Amino acid sequence: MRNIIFKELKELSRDGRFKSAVVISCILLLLALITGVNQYKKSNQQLTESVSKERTIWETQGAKNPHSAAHYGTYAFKPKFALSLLDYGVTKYTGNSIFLEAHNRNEASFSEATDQTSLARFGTLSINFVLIYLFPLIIILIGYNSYTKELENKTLTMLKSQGVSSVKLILGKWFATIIPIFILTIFTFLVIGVVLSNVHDLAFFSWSSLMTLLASYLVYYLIISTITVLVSLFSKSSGTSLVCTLLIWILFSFITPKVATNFANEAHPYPSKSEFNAAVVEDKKNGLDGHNPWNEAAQKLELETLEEYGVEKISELPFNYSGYRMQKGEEHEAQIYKKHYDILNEIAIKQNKVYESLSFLSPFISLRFLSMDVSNTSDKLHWKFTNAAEKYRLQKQEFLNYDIKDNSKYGERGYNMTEEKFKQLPKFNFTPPTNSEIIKENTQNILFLCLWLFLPFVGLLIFSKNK
Amino acid sequence: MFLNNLSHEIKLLFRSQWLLVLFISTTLLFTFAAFNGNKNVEKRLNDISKVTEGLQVQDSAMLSTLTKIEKGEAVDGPSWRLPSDPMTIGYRHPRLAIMDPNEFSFIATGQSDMYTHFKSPTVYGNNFALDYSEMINPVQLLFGNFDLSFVIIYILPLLIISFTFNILSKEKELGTLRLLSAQPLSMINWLLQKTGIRFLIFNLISIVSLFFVIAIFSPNSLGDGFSMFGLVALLSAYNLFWFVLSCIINIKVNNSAKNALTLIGLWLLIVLILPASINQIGNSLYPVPSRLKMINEIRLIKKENEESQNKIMDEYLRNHPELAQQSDKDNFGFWHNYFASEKVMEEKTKPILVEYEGQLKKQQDLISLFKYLSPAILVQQSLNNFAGTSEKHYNDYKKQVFEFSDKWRSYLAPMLFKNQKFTIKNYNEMPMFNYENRIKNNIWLSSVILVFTSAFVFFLFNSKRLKNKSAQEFID
Repeated sequence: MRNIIFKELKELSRDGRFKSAVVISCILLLLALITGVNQYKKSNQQLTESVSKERTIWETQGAKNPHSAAHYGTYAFKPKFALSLLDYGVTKYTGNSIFLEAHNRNEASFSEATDQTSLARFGTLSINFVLIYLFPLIIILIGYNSYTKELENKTLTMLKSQGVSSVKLILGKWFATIIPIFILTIFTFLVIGVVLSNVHDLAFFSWSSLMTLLASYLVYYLIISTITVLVSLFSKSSGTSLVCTLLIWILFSFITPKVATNFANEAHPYPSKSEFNAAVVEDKKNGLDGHNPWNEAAQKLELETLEEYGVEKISELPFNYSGYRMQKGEEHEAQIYKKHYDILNEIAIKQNKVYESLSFLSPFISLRFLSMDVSNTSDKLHWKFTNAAEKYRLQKQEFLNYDIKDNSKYGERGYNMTEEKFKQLPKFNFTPPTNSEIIKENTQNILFLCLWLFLPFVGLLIFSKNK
Repeated sequence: MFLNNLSHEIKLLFRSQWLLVLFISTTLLFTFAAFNGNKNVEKRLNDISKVTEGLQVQDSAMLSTLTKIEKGEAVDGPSWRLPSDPMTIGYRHPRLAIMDPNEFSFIATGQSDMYTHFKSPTVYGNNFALDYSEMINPVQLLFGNFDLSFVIIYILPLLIISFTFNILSKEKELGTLRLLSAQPLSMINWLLQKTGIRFLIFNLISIVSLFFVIAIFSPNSLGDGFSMFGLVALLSAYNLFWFVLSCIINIKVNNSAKNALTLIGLWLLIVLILPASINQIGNSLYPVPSRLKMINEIRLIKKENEESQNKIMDEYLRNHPELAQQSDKDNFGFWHNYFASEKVMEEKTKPILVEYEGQLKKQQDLISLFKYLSPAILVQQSLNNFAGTSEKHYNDYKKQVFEFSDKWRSYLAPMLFKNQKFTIKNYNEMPMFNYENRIKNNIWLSSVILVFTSAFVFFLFNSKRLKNKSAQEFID
């Protein structure tokens, strides 16, 4: 078998097409890496500047009524993650900053894609783009004729007459198909790792995540190699084998994901923004309103508070009731938002399930989701970020409302919080999930990838025995 | 010779069942894609009808209250909330600015999955800074839709490649090329005719499939001859480009497996690598102006101008104008001050937004120049333009909404200042939004560019060969 592998690799090293494919891929990788690092540095710098400017604006707003400060609000910015340089995921389609104000939970605004032309819909040249679309093509280029060429050159009979076992022959071909791509991929990841380790101000970089990505891509390449050799085994000519493997590649990488989009949209449609907002307004109308003391729920709260403190009038309470009521109103509104955002998240999860369930047609989908998750550029991470921002908004509201509650008197007009106090508001902090948590969340994707590897490989062994 | 060639080619294709396979696969692909595109349009229309119905319910309640007021009957609710107050109309009954799909929107989803198709600009507030993005799972945007535009741009070239990659090389490999070259005919003419015949057949099949899906999903648009011809021209020009490429590769490479590989390589380059690289390099060289920087600047201005706004109006009331309205007494004064205070902020922030939009437009114009580098980009942009789903359409829609909100404010504000009541007559005559497609459809221009590109590429690579009638080079 070793001889077969060496012979195949030697042949490959003389193949001009293979060499040019590798050279083109490497140039594209280099281009993606250079532009990616530049963009990363630039946007990271912009982000750091914006975070510090926004904080300064908050801290230097001067003495002000806390509720006015709550309306003036502040921003939560999504950090740039190290591996986003490798896989852009959905970052382009989600905003990176959320305005945190009183009474309203806002969505992340200004996604890059809404500012770009429709050219962006073709995809972006990133390292992931080369790894997920082009490397499988190199595998196809290496392996499409691995078996058929023996048929066409009439060398199969010669090989058999020498007593080479079919299984060893096929496994040799299989190894010869994966070895070059393995070397190329490992080298690529090493370079990425070294470059990333040397980028200044890199947030959340871990070699374990990078290695997880490497392992995922290698498994995907094993799948593609196995299928390619399997197809070659069944084909009568190299041409047919090439057409079939290319068809499979297109089916995997383009057709299934796009069809899944249409299925997901049809089965679990998102509400329109206005529909969503109308539902929130409706619930707000019938719920507790922080500003309206005559509202039923607010009245109930008032009675309960008076009872708890054993007093008859609000003015007799040991704190300013307005601040307390405002906070309770805010919490109630936050619950309404939570209810509706949870429904939305549920739809997103169901849609993603449609994609993931179509993984039986394409391992590409499993890899795409896994890669985005590990790189912290998935929609799951965006949900985590928006939830963390909402949590921080409530914390900020409580900080401001309880200042009114504790430091002003009921009915006092013109109360202002000191500038110094604004500085005491804790800063927004968002930590992404750890690599092991992400792996746990992706068990289904990993399982699908393993199945995709296992079944065709068993098929390859069985069919090569019969050849 | 041409007729001989034609009958021979058709006979061959029929016997190999290629035509049947091609016809069925094209029709199925077109139908499925158009079905998906149509579903997207249906969702858009469904969303629009939901908001329209909501507005109608609100309007009919408002109109019945207005009728009662005009008849002098008693009405429920506090006086500051009555629709006879023009500001109640401006604040609580905003008009809908709807962007309806056009007849061909199902062809290309384009940017329609990202943006909203209706807005309700209120009489006050930053109507020039409204957020037009629609709620959508970003994964859907990442993977994109299986629509007609996808089939035309990505799949049709692959079908063309599989239909043409071995026109010449097959004859060579079967040994029939030598026989052919013994005939009194020019090989290059023979090849061009053969490719031409296949182009006509393939084009006919794709046009028939296109008419078929349009007849099913948008029968009315069949009557729009000019647009239909434009679409057919673009489709044919794009098909022609791929046939020309295939013909060149057939002549230059002349080996079935190598032909197929080279053509697939070209396909990859044109539909995948070039657009993705142009996108990445373009955005690196001419980056989209930073929204974060814009946010910072606006925040700073807001902070600096708070004082001057506060002089005009108490901050709390500025944040909650709906509460200030509750007193009838100061209504006039309140709104007067409110507009004044908002105007202060608008005047300060507008230049930043205008500058940002200007920079963005410049960047987008620069990037869109790159469309000429790949026919796939050109066709994508043309189809989006044709379907009314391009970024230009959405930018223009934003502009139209802003123009409308200005018009609407100019109608209501004087009523407030003159202390006029809002009546049913006003309801019937107040400005309404009508979306107008003001973007020029460049489908003919794109088709012409594609034909010229094809001709240029053809003569660039084949000029020598066209003069040389010898068959020897093909056989070798």
